[in-house]
Amino acid sequence: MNLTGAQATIEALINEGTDFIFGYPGGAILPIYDALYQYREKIHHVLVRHEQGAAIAAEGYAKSSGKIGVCMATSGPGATNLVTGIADAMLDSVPLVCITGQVFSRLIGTDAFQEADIVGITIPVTKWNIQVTKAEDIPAAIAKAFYYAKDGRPGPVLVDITKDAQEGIFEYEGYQPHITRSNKAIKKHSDMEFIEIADILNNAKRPLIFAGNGVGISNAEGELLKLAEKANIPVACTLHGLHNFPAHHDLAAGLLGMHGNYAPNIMTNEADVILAVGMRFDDRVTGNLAKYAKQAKIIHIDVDHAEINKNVRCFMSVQADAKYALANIVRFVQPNKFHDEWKQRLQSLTEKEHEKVIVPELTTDGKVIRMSQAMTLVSEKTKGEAIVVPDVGQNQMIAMRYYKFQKPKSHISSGGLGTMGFALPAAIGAKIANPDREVICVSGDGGIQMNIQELAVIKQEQIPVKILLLNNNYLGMVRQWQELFYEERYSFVDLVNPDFVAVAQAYGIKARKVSNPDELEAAIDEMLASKEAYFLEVIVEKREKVFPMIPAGSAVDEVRLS
Amino acid sequence: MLSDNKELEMNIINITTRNSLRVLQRISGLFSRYGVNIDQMSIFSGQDDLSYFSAIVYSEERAVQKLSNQLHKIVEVCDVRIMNHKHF
Repeated sequence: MNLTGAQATIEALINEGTDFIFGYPGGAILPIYDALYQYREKIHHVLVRHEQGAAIAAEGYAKSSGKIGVCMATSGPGATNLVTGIADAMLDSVPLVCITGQVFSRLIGTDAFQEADIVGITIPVTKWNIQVTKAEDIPAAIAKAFYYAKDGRPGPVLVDITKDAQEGIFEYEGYQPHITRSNKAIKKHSDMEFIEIADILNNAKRPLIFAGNGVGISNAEGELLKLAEKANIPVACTLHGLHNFPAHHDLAAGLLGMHGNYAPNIMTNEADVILAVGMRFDDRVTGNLAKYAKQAKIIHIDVDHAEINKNVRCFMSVQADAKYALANIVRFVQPNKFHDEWKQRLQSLTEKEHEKVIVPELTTDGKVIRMSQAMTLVSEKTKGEAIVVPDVGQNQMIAMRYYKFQKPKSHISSGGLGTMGFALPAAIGAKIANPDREVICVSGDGGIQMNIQELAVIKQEQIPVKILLLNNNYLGMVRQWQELFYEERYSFVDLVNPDFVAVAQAYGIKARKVSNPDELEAAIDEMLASKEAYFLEVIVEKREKVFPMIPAGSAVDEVRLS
Repeated sequence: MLSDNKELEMNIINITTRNSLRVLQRISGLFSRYGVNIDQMSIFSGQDDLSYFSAIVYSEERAVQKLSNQLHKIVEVCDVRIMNHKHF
């Protein structure tokens, strides 16, 4: 059977199980879009309004489903516009296959119209990338791309296809998924390693488990819960680990790091053993490394060998998939009552944060709405079962702190790169992957405007995503830092904003604005009850600060409550 | 020119890769990202479709170890070996 390179591209995607592509057409990818037209019954293409939206929507799709996200763009500016999303996926280990058109191979290097060396540009932010210049090389390149996106620690890959390769005709012999005998030997593990870890945990007096993104990526939430319950060990979570352990569990210690909960940060520097699973000791988690958990025996489990001893020296490490490692440790740990005193420590620290931070935050003065009040209402009314997609900044920290996640694959956020503008496109991707779940985009007035054009996609595709805009007319997190650390010199953080309700309505989306605390609950009810997309703008206190906070450069136990 | 920084230790980093376009770019990008300056480098490709890189660097052991861990993650890289005074 003769196929064009473009047809072979789509055949490959279909064979890899792709059902949605987020993309934007252009000159150098016209042949692939022509083939997409032919295959439009088999594969759904979502037309975004900016290529950054395509990459981030594909991330939202991938993170919320565990599948590989696919995005597509033309050469030059189309491809470079993907880069922020690709870098975001790299830092957050999101499996993404990005397909870009490229100018004719004979024009490469001539500064042709819309030519950019996207393979060179994306080397530092992809797991792997390739340029294909011959039609017959396309199936194998895409097969490799899907393989590498998922292999080990997931991440983004990019396949750049020249226009002549897309147009070329070749004898197609069917699709072969990539099979490799990996040239990097994966270490085999014996029971002895897991027995040793279990032994350390069994003999610990103040053990703590850190759960990161890797727990969710390997679907190890069940094993994590089993281990925590059997061995009676509190579980603290990273930003991406938050939805991997039910928030209301009495072993849930909460969120680690800069704006995390009080208890896990204090307990980090009190624990005698820390079992860190699928996390990478990011600087936002550790604060000052010189004063980080020096008293603890750290056992680090990560699928990525390069993460072991990268930031924190560990006592013992296992390079393994989280599910496999946790399931094996569970076999050997013993039920343990000796940790009860340590659990009481967790309780008392949690109560302290509750009393000093949470209760005052949630106590209304009746005049202005606080972000935390809005998020608490959303959390209660959705029973912690929605998919919440925060942006970056105060809205993100508040969403994480006050939304009580009960289900895995529910917290979709930009952690490593901290990409403002992430929430709206990511929520679109998440809703497409999870049509039966409530998906709530939580954004600020800064972030929403970085990808506000994607509102048009919500209308065009009829995606019933809910948008909660927490508007303080400020770049709130930057303002908070300027207040605390730059003597209130508010340098370029106040925003003169558009009428967001009018903007949303102009895009054809139902919208409402509330500023009166008495109307908040009814407005949130209306948003959640809506069968179609709904944009709720909440005017919140202008100068709210997020606490607890570990100031940059401070140790985790120097966490401030005010 | 050889580095005159006596405090830093000489390391020889030997890398075996599959021979493909851009492998040098992938490798050299990591050296610069991890702040490891290349003093000398030689590359040749064998008949077995493999390329052999040998770089001499003067750097702290920890930086070289981190670099080596990252080099291993390049898909085309088959093997990374570091030699320093301990090996001589």
